Amino acid sequence: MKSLITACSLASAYLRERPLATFLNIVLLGLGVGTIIALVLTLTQAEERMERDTAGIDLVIGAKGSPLQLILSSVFQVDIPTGNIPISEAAPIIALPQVKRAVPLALGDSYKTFRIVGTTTDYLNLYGATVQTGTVWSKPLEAVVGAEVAKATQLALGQSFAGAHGLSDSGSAHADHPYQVVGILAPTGTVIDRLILTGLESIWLVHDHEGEATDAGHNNASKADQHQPAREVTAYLIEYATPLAAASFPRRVNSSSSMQAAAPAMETARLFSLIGVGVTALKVFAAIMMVCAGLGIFIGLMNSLNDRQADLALLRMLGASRGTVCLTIVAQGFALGLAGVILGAVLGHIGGEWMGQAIGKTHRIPLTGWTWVRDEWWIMGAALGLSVVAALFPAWRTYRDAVPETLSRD
Amino acid sequence: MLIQITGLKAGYGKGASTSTVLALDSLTIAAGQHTLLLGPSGCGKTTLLNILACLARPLTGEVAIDSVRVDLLSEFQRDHFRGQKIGLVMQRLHLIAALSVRANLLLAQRLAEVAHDDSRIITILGKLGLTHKAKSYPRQLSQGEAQRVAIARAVLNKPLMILADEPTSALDDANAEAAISLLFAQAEEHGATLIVATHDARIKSRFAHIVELGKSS
Repeated sequence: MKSLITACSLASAYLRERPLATFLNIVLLGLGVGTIIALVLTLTQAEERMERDTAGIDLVIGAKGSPLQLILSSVFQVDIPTGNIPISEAAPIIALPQVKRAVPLALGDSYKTFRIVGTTTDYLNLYGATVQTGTVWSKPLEAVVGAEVAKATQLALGQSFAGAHGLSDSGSAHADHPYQVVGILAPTGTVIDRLILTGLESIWLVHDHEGEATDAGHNNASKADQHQPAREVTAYLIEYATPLAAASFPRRVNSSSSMQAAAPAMETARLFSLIGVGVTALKVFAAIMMVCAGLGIFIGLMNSLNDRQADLALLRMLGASRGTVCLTIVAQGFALGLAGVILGAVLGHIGGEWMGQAIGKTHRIPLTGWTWVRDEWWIMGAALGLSVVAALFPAWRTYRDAVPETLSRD
Repeated sequence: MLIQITGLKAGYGKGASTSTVLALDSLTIAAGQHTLLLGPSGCGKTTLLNILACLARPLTGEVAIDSVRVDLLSEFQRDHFRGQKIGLVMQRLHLIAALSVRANLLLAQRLAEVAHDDSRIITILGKLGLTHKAKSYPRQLSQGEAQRVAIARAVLNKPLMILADEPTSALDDANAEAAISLLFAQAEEHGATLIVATHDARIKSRFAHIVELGKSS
């Protein structure tokens, strides 16, 4: 114990003697650890969020187009919908026994960039959303707003607002059909927090009275059916009655109709494999930085070994055992590693928060740096381990080099 | 008897392929009997000093210091023995550059595992005229000052003996005289036996007990 304290105080004196090299090693390690932590924080939260958003949704049925787009638009509510499908076409399919639950979604309008979604109360059940104040909609043009929407737009119970055409802020307002807020939802940590929900009938009502002049830019419009009040929805979120349905049901949808089926699990996996290239590149880059830091520690210690061989011999002369002398080297590696890891954790969380704000703004996924995920322990442990390993060979050299040879060298 | 050596052979190598640097049938040094180990370069005086300092083991023979058979001790035990019983002043290797003078002395106490005694450090620095240098770093010291700090460190833990390797050979006459006087004074004051290995004949006259090495072989 005493020799450990002695070794540590010597190690700290040695590190302070070379402030620049020490600083460089700590910063290199900190940047590497920080980059990986920021990535892990962001990815973990994004994955958790996606998992929550796709929970209970085995399949999405929508208009033909890119399956990834269908998932992004109707499950995560981030992309533009692929188009609409007539209820009459979908009805026989969702009536099949393989389907346990089919939640219809009608998209196309928004209020201050928050999407207005026409649906049924099944959609609330899907995410376990509950009404915090007020009630669920019961008549057309009654709306329930998500927790974040209420916070951001200051919409309160009983207040009226007019939906805008399209999903951006620039669409023309449906001023003749204002919605009334009848309920505000409790926060769920899912996509529903950022939505305004209403009955399917509301959407139909708003759009039935529209002339063909407003057709342009209307995401919800199916041009052929515009002039007759056809009952359409954008997508159905399907929950299977049995896992076996996955084998035949999607094929049936894809082959027998103008609709397509897309599985959220498959599409998110595809999405991650697309992002994965960039993430892997960043991870490799961060790992290289960490290895460089380890190499820096190794080279620094080896150099100091040559310079301090006399010092190390002197320690032996003063009664230090081989182990104690060896410990001063390991302690230097450990101290550098610890400082680097702490710096990395701080940088990583700041970076995670920064990335969260940037991504949150553009993709509406709430991410934060002020959280802790379990993988961080692994990263920090690995970085610390790397630093100690980098010190092992110099330490072994120190251990091996006998004292008298150094002392009596002239 | 402070030191008792019989049938000593020392050198390098292991097993059959050893080369003997030093052979000494018998050597005894009593406590307080300040001794000069004199001889030309390569006569084995440094080797003998390393054995007395428990830094090296003899090839054969018995070495007893203060009735302890140090040739039989484990390396760890010898490290401990050296820290507590032996003060070393080497020709080079004076001080640790990263530590202040005071921290250098503190380190000697710590490594020898003797009680931390700051007042003793201050007293010794005072006696050697180094009080104002306590916070200085080794690079800020003159060579003479650095050697005095090294001597202070050697006597700090009240050793049985002070071993000095060529303490004067790099110094001019006046400084050599001052250094050897200081070593004598400090050895007397702390009740330690001074053993100096050197080829420097200038200090021969100061010693009553001289062991000349490298003549017989």
